[in-house]
Amino acid sequence: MINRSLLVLVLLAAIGFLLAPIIVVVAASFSGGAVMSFPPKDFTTHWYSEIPQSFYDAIWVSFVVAAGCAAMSVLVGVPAALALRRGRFPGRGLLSAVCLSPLMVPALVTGVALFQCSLVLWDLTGIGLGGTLAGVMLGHLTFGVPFVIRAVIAGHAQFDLSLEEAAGSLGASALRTFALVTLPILRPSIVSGAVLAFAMSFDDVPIALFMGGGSATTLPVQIFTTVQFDLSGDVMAVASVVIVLSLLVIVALSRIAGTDLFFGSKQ
Amino acid sequence: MSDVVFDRVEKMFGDFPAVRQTSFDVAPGEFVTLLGPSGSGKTTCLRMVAGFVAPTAGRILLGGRDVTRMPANRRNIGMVFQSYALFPHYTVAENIAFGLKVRRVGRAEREARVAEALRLVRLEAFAARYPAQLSGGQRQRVALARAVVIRPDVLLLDEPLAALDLKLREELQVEIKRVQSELNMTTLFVTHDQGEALSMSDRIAVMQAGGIVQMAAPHALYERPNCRFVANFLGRTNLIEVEVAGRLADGATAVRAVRGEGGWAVAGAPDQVFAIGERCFLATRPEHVRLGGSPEQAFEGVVRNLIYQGSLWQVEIEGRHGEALSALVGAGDAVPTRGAAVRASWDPARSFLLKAEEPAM
Repeated sequence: MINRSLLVLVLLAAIGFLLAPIIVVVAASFSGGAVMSFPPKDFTTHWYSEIPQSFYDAIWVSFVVAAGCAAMSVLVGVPAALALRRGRFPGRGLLSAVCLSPLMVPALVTGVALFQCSLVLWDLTGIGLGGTLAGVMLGHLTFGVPFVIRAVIAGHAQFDLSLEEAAGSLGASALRTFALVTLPILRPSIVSGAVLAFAMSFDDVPIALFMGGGSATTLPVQIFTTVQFDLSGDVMAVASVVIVLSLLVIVALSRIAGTDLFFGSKQ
Repeated sequence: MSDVVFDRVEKMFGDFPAVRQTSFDVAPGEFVTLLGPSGSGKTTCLRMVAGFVAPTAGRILLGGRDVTRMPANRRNIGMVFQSYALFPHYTVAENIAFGLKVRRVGRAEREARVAEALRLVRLEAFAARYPAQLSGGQRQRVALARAVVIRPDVLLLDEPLAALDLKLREELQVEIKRVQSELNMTTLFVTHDQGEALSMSDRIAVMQAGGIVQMAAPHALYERPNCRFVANFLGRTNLIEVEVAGRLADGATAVRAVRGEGGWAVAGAPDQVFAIGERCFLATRPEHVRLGGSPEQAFEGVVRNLIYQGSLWQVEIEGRHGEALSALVGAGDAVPTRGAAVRASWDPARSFLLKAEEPAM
C-alpha cells in the first residue's frame, strides 16, 4: 500500500511541522546560558525559578478575562443565535451577517476602534474602560460572541423543532422546554463555542494591547512586551508552563466532552 | 358528549385557506382518521387540536373545555410525531417519564406508571436505552408510551407510520390499534395512506383542499363514496360516463353509456337523486368486475394491459370508444392475453352512480 505509507509520511510531516515550535520552546526553557538557544547547551531548571511575579499575575488576568469572555459570549450568543435562526423579522439576513462580521475584521483594527470608543465614552460619561479587566473582556466579546453564535447556529441545523412541540404537548411550559430539551441538546455546540471564545481570548494580543495595560495586562501582552527587549530563558519557561496548562485543559475537556468538542457537534 | 369538537374552524396562512370552515367531532374512545393527500389540511387540523397552530376562526373543544386560545402545554393531549421526536439526551424511561415529571407526579407513582407504559408497548427490556440505540419501530412505540402515560384527553397521531418500512408499518399499525382499544383512548389520526385509515379507524374524514369531503365508517366510505374523489382516493374505482335512461321494475336504475352502445342496470345507488336524462358516472370496483357474464350487463373491449400483483392479475380493458375498465382476476383463474377481445360484467348491486359535479367546498 504505497498510498497508505505516503499518507502516514504526510501526516508525520504535518505533526512535526505543528509540534516543532513547541518542542523548541520547551527545550530552550531548560537551556543554560544568558539568551535563548537551541539545541539546549546544558540542562537547567533555573529559568523556572526566575519567572517574575508579573507573569503569574498576567496568567491570572488572562484566565479571568478569558473565562469572563466565554461566559458572557454564551449569555449573549445563545439567545442571539436562536433569534437569528428562528425569528421571522425583516433584516434577519443582514443582522446575521453583522453579528458574524467581527470575525472578518483584523483584530488590530477592532483594537484601535475599541480604544477610540473607550476614549469617547470617557469624555462623555467619565466611565473609563481602558486599562481595566472589564474593558479587555468587552473587547474580547467582539469575537467571542460571533464564535458562540456560529457554533450554535451550526448545531441548531440538526435540531428537530418537533422535540419542542413534543415537550409542549406533554405539558412543559416554554421555559421548562428550553431548560429540559433545547438547552441540553444544544449544549455540545454551546460548549464548543465557549471553548473557542476562551481560547481566542487567552490568545489575543491586539485588542488586549489597546484595552489593557497596567493591572489589566494579559499574558500574551506581557510576553510580547518582554520579548521586545529581552529574549531570555524565563520567557521560554513561562511559555512552557502555559503549554503544559493548555495540554491539561485539552485532555480534561476531551475526557469530559469527547474530542468532537473541537470539531463542533456530531449528532 | 364528544371528547373533541371542531366547530366551524378555519385557518388562513396569509391568503391561502389551509382549512376551510370545517366541523367534526370525536366521541369518547373513538378512533377518527383524517385522510387526504398532502396539502389537504389534515395536518393543520391536527396541529390546531394540539395547540401548535391557532385557528383563524371557529372553536375547538376538548373534553367539553373551550381550548381555542389555550397553549398546547395546558391542553392535556398526547401526541405522536412522524419524526418520533424522542428526546435524544434522555433514556427510554426518562422520555416516558417526561410528561409525568412536568406534571409533578410523585416519584413512586411515576415509576409505576412508566413501568406500566413500558409493559403496554412491550419494551420493558429497553428502559435504560437511549433513543439512538433503538430501531424506528421501537422508537415509535416509546413515543406512543410517552404520549399515553399522561392519560391525555385525546391521543393525536401525526402520520406516525410514514417513516417506517412496510413490514414495520403493518406491525405498528396493529400495535397502535391494540394500545388504543386497550386504553379506550379517544384518538385522532392523520394519514395519507388509505390502507391504514381503512384498517384502523372507527370513522374516516376524507379531506381535500382544506375541507372534509365525506366522513363515515370505513366500510360505508368504501361501499358508498359520495363523489369521484373519495371513490378513487379509497381504493380504485372504474368510472364510466353514463346517462340515466329510466327506472327498472326492481327499483334499479337503467343507464346507457354516453359513448358507445353499452347499457347497464345500477342497483347500488348512493342516497342521491338522479333525474332521467342526467349525465353522471357509473362506478364499480375492479374487484367486483369479472370476465365473461351475460351480454345485457356487459362491457365489451380489448385487453390493453396485464399487471401482475402476486395474488391477483389486474386486467386493463379498453372499450371501443376509449373507455377504460379495470378488473381483478384471481391468479388461479383463466387470464386473458394482451390484445384479446373480452367481455366483462358485474352485479348491478355492486355498482352505483356518482354525480358529474364534485361537491363544492
